[in-house]
Amino acid sequence: MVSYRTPLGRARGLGSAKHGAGHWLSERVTAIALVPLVVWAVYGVLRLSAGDYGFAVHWIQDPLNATLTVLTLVISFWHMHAGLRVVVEDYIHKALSKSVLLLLNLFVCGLAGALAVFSILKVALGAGGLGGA
Amino acid sequence: MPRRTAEHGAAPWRHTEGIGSAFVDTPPAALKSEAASGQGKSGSDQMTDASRTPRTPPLSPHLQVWRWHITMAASILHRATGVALYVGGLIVAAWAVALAAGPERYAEFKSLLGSLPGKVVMFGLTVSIFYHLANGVRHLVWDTGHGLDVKSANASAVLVFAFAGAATLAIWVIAGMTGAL
Repeated sequence: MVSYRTPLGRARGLGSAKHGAGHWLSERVTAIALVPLVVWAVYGVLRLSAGDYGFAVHWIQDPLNATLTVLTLVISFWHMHAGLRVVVEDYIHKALSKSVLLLLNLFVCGLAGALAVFSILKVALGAGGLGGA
Repeated sequence: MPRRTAEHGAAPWRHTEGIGSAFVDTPPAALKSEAASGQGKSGSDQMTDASRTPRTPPLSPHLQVWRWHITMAASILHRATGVALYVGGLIVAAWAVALAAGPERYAEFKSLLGSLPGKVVMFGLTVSIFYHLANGVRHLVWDTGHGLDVKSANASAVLVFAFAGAATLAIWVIAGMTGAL
């Protein structure tokens, strides 16, 4: 088949050479940030599992714990979205199911991340349950 | 012509030795048999053969074709633990929501995770987080262009498996000692 379109015409709209690495880079940048954060989070989970509700509230009201928890949550959900997106793109080839799953991935990460961050802030800023217990 | 390898049934390169040969584009075995079967035919015969029988296009070699090796297992596990940690992330979000919901809901959440199925899930997530963490660092090192040769890739895979096992064991021993279980 002979195409009458110019090479430039065929290439247009298929993505910009200057932005193609964005997703790849964001996966790496979040991965690097998560290395120390995850080690800290494992330590946090260990301490929290040994304590009760009062201890958890007290723990999360510490500004450093609250900040690191929110950072870990936001960066984790960003990384989770990027990772599962690649999985969907690799295995799901039907346009409709692929689009639905990619949107679902985005919305689940967005909703769960927002809920988690808001909940942490609510407790950390002193409005949660027993307050300063 | 590029479709000829599909004719030779399953994978003629199944028995390739060593990991290095797994990365060869056209397997030597397939090349050999192609040359052998092509001897008796003229070029035009092959053309008519090809046009008469519609063949399914060749698939790129997939999971069941390769002999299992450690770098392959490491790669697949990275993805599997990543998906497991996706669920883990949702559990962490549920923890935050339970904490904000007050003492009763938080106690419910804790007893759910403290139950036997909850502990099994937490153990799986511990293995997953340490595996994905170590193998993620392995990937980051690769991104700098280091450790990509077969010997290093095999060695770092062993290291990642060892780290995941040791770290999981250590954390659960500490959890047992600090009363977290």
